[in-house]
Amino acid sequence: MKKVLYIIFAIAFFSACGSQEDNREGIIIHEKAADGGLRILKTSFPDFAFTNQNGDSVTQEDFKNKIYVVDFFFTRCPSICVPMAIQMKRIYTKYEGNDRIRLLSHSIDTRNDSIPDLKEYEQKLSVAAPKWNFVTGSYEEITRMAKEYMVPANVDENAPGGYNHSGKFILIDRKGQMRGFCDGTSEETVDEFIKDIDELLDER
Amino acid sequence: MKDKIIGLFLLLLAIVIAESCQSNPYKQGEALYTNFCASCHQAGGKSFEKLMPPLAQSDYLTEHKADLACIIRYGLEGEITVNGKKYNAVMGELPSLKEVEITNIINYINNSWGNNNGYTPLKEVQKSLENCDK
Repeated sequence: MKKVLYIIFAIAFFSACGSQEDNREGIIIHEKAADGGLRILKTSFPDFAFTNQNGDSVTQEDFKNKIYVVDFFFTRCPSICVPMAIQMKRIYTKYEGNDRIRLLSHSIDTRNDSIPDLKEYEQKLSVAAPKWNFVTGSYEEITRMAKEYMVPANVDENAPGGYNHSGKFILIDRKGQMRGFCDGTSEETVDEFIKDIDELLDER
Repeated sequence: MKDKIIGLFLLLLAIVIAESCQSNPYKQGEALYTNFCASCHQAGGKSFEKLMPPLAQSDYLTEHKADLACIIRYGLEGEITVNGKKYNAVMGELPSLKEVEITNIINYINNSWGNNNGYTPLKEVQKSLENCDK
């Protein structure tokens, strides 16, 4: 009799308020080369020319010898852009005093996102260029660069807000090579991503 | 003897359940919040810069109590004022949530992070959802 009671007690104890596992899938590709360093996933990117939140031109020249993080968003995005902004702001804050780190966010809503819209978004996040550039350009140029970074980004009337786009953050090293990416909506994977940034900072 | 063991067992069971459930009684609401809301509104319902208004100790929640069900189901657009500050972000819709799930989320939010906004019964949520603007 006692045994049965213990068993019931144990079951009650473990099931009383079982916490539910969060089922969000965090994707991180943690490619390590033979020497233990971050693998080169892509060696080069084509030239680009966009306009940032201040109306200034932004090209690959602005990222020369910089380690930078790339993503795609839009200001009226109702889905993943706020979590992405929360995570990108963490990276911004961590490297605010380090001029070797830059952030580059492309608006894919080229029909609606004007330069003043990008400026307003910058102000809402309390950040500034050149550390964090929010850029716009022609739809063809933005989607062309998205393809280059291997990030889906396109008009999709069925997607929330009218655009289908990925929440990925892409990591580019100071030689302009792609060295990593992560799910920019997940705090845990961005923790790992920040370690990758630190690793690139240590590279000579 | 048997009665004593059973009595002791029931007492312990009561303590265990009371202890483990004391933090927040709206367990489903908490799980749904974590899955559907927390990536923007964050675990503590806190604000994010000037982009995301707070849910914790937010006057918007108490002033728009009857609108919460519609907001959760259909999202929200346009400028709003929360605790004296203006916000203008687009909140997405969650059409897949059932009425009872929306009720549980409302009650979790209304009774977490220092909020003490009372209990909203399912019937009230159903009534609100019949009269959404969209």
